[in-house]
Amino acid sequence: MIELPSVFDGLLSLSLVLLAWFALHSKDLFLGIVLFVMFGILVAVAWLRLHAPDIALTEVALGAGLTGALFLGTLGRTEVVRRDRGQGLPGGRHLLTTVLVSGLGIVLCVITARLAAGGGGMGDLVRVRLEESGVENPVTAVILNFRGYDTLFEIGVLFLALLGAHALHQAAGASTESLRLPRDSMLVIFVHIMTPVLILTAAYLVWVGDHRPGGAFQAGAILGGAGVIILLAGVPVSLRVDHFRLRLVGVLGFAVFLVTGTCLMVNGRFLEYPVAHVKWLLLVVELACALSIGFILSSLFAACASLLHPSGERGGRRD
Amino acid sequence: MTDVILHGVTGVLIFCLGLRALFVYENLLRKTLALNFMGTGVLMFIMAMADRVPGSPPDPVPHAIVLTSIVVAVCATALLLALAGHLHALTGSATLEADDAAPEANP
Repeated sequence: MIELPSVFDGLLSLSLVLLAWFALHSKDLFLGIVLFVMFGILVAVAWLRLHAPDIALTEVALGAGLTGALFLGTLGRTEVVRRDRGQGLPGGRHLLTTVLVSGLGIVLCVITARLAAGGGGMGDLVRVRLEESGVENPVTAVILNFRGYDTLFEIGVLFLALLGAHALHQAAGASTESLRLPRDSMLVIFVHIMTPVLILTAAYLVWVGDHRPGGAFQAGAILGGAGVIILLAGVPVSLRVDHFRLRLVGVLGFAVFLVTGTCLMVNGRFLEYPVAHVKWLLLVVELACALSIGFILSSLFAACASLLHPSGERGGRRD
Repeated sequence: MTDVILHGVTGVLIFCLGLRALFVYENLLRKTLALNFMGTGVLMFIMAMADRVPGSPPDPVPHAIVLTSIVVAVCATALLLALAGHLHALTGSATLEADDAAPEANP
């Protein structure tokens, strides 16, 4: 007897594979990107089925939402590319590629089947030492405390991406026009209503990440989304990184994390939190990271969609 | 266990579809899209393995790794797209093939 959950999972997996196929091979790139966003949303459902609500939150906001926005922004900037007919390798090599990739796929499926029967992992280790971490959500504990190094470098990578995207934009100089957006009053009203709500939601996510799904990255993603709709509404905001206050926001997360980790070396090792103060230390680091992540994501979108104003500063911060 | 195999194999399939598309298409935006699918396929495989012990909650360490990975993938995509846009602004084409490019527009 096939159980209902398995039928749902089977249909979900089938939809995912079909969406992937159609998104990758559609003639119209715009349709491909839209299908990619739909794919991302269904992948978030798959994460829920795999008991990972934290990942589902992040996937919807970043994987589906922001990545889709980045693609659409770049597509708008390179408009002539949209109608490409998907030219690729000459015919014979299509077949060779398909054969080789299928071979790889079969090997990987066999490996999957053999690994699926395994056990172990570090779940028990984490659960045993959860109270020392200062938070009750095991995923947040791993991200911020037990594997803090990874997160520190991840924020560093975000910052590097910001520098890279802006350096490219400045290299392009005056030859890149910024996109002129029609002033849509509905969108402007929507932005005025939604921005405070989104900021509140982000603050809530940082706070609640301690004991429920949530945390700094989800909050940062929400703030990034707020930044994107502010930009799309044509609100005159300058996101050039040489504006000092914005530079400060961009580097804030990485700096706070690094400084905290280094100061902790007074009593222990780098990033080794003392159990007595860990809760509020983590909160400070999380808030700084969420702000930074939000700014960096909006700024990346601005760089990809050519929405940075190349001349003159309009002043004003993002929020 | 069959659920784990189902999600794992789905991940593998999506990875392979992305890999093939990465080779086949010349357009840089399509290649970046393919890379994103490959990344999601790998993450799905990891998450399936994180949940493979039946009856107990999933392993939070792969969850943390996947979360980091999603963020890093967004950064990589953003940089790739910025580069592709820059290439298009300089040469008028969105592929790396020289014979497809429009006559070079020197800034």
